[in-house]
Amino acid sequence: MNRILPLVIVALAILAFATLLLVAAPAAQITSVEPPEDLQPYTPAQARGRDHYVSLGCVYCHTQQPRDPAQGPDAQRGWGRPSTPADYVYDQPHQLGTMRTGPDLLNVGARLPSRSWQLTHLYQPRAITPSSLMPGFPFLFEEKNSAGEGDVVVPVPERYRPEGKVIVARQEALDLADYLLSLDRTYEATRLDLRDNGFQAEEAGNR
Amino acid sequence: MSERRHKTNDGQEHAAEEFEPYEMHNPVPWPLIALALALAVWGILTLYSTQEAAQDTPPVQQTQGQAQSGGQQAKGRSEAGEALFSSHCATCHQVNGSGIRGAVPPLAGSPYVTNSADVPISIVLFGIENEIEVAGNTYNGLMPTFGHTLDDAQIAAIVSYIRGNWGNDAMPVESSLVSTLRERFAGRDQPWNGGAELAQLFDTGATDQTSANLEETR
Amino acid sequence: MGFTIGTLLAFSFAVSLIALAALIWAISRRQFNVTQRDAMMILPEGEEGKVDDPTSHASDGHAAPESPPMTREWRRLLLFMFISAIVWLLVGSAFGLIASLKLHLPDWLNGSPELTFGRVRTMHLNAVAYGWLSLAGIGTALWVLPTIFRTPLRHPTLILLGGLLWNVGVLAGLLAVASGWTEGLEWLEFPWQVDLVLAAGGAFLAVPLIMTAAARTVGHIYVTGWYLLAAMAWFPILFVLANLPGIHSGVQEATVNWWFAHNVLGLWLTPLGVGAAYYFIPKIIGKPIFSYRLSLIGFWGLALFYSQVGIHHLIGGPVPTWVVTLSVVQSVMMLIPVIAVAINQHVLWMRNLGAFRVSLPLRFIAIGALMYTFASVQGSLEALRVINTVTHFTHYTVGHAHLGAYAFVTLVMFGSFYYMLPRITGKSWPMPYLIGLHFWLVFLGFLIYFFALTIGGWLQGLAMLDGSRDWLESMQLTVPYLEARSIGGFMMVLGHLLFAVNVLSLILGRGARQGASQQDVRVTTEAGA
Repeated sequence: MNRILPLVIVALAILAFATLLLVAAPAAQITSVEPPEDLQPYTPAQARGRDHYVSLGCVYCHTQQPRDPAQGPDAQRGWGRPSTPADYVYDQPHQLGTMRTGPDLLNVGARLPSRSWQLTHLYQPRAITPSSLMPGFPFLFEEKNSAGEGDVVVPVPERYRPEGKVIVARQEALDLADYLLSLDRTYEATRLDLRDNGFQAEEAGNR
Repeated sequence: MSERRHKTNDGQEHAAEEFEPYEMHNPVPWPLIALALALAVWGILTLYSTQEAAQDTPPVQQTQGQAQSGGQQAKGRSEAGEALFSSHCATCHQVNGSGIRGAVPPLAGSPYVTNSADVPISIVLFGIENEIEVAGNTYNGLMPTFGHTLDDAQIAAIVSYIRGNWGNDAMPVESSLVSTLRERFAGRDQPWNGGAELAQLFDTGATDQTSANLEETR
Repeated sequence: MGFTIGTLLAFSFAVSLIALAALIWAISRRQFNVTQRDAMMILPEGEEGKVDDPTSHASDGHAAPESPPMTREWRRLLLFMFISAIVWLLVGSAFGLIASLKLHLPDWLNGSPELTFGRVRTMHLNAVAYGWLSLAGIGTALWVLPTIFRTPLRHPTLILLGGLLWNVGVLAGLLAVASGWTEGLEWLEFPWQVDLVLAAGGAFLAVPLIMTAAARTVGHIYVTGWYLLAAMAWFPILFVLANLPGIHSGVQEATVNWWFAHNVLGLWLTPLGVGAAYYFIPKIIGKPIFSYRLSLIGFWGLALFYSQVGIHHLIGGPVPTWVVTLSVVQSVMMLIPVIAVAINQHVLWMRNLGAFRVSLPLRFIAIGALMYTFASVQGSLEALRVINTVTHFTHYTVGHAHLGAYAFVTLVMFGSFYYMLPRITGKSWPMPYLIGLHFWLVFLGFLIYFFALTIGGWLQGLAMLDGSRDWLESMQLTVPYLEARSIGGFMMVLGHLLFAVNVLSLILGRGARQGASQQDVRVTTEAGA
């Protein structure tokens, strides 16, 4: 350990080996996956909504990766079947998430398919679930004295809005709701072999 | 990786290597070697067994909550109803049908659920918004429409489930009734306007009976 | 297919095992030209056995290192790095506290998108990771490397430019995140245009340091040098590969994301912290580490195993089973290098508790090193599927992340700053009592923080896995723990303010010249107050 060059070369070779295993090999396996027939690319409105989802940092509290029934009761909670790489072919950046301060959202469009529910919930989550810890996003909405032509009025209980005002969704809120409603992977899974089946394996081992 | 000894640049040769004030006999303590061996064995076993098992276990096809309908036995349908309820309704109405105080009306003991089956089916089909009074409390929320996302058999399963649980004791419903109601309100594309609109169209039941029912549940 | 993947898996693990076995064999047979005498090289003649602590009585008589001599240019550069690091610490921990409060006061500060939880939390992470920890670590390297190589720092102006660029990059990145311009990947939120600035800054920092290493006047590279040089080789590659725009997507992007994010911890922040601890613990105590040859296992084992653990962040997710299992196994294998480092560092300071009691910098660094052991052991266990299924997706993970990034790296950096700054400025700490207060505030604050999230997160995970309980319960039950976390976080922020005040008054000229007696220090302090 008296020379810099060998030290650095070996250190980099080890990193290159790790990169081959963790980046290159899975990539080779995953990128060959065909998009499922029933999964549509995002419409322009949904894509804009997804951008808001990303920029507001929804991923820090919401996952988009339901677990296998062998691991947890996700399906029972209405979050959907275990997901596979094919379910994410149109996702960039990925929003798999690592935290469930809120519920999983990969199938929220199938679970809570009402736009006005989503809009109310985005404006003030506590109007729907009093104990919710989710922040409201009032800046995605306008407070107006009365609704104008073509305005989407959000039904908000009186105690959660300024007196005498109506709440109208801005385009950002409508797009975000559009994206949430598009989250629906209830079609049949393809390539289940490409997801982590380690818990199934453990359960099988215990049997 | 093993660099051979070589003279160091500063000329301070390390000839007196025997003089090593803190050096141990073997620089790698045997417990560490033992641990490394144990972990290596464990690692090989883990990799092997996970790989084997993952390949042996045929991946189960699961589709979300789309419990197969059409089962003729009541039991099968009740299970399907429970699964559908927990994926589509329990987020708001709660697993025990209690609703959320001040926000979501209860289903347990609600006359809207237990009286005429037309009412719960219509609510599930189209959703409901604005004021509705249930068990003495007034709610002003909004429930989404499920007519587009659930088929007749699924709605029948859900409605049968909520009519027959948590102290509710009303008859299950058939999917034919769901299709009848779909036809009856074919042009409709918006949620019901609160309890008022329901009361105009259906027999939503006397309140007396409700509170009695509710007492029982509590 | 099964055959090829199984083969690949067997191959990769076999390579790691063979490398480890060869390493152990080579060390046992003394194939490396590394001896205990080399471990003494950081202790100048006559300093052996004497506690070297510029903040206490015991330091009297210790002079600043002779070679290389402290120059104005070097001092200016170091102070710039340290001050900017501390500014990011204050900014980052303020955002951390706001984010923590927002988790249980969701309607607080809710009027604008810049202050929504998702952005405040992101600004916290990036400010402390790329602002505070990186700049503090590089700043420490800028002092330690010339000192152990006994040669002046090469191209200090270029380094200053690199430090400026790095600061500009961090500031631009935080503003971008605040305004909603983000790449949307955890640990990689800064837009790639900003990353270019950081990469350029990083190059200006790393190249002169490597040139300094090449021009060293001593033959042997001390263990701290291995860690710091390797980190400077690893991080640029990680950073550039992971930030290449437009080539990653979907689940494949997730594997890149976590390969990077864990390597930022394992191959960047950890070597900075472990390297600093390897220098300062023996330096302050005045005795070499327990077994210098053993440190080879710690270093090469870290490279070998830590680089492959990243996919344990996707356990149970939509990525192939084999790559998850590989990361799980390598995470557990990390126990080997961690124990090697633990033996080396803890045996030394635990055998010299007198120094531990008298020296506050040592207290920070030794406790920090101890937390490295705890964090790593916890991490190895947490990667096991049976434990991960409970802790994944919960606040438990956040507690673990702070055990590593805060209790380990940040405490080591605090201690290093307390040791280095008097040496750099030639002055004593004007308010030594604040150092002790700082320690107890952040240490107790951290304990509250950690146990609140660990217990709350575990209960949250159990509730989430229990299908008979409504999901909402798993969220509601965390509220008291989140409130406790805010209390701990508040104490930590308070400690950081004391730290900043102390550093500022030292640099602004208060504090006695080094070598003056403690009495004088006290007088100056009172006169100035």
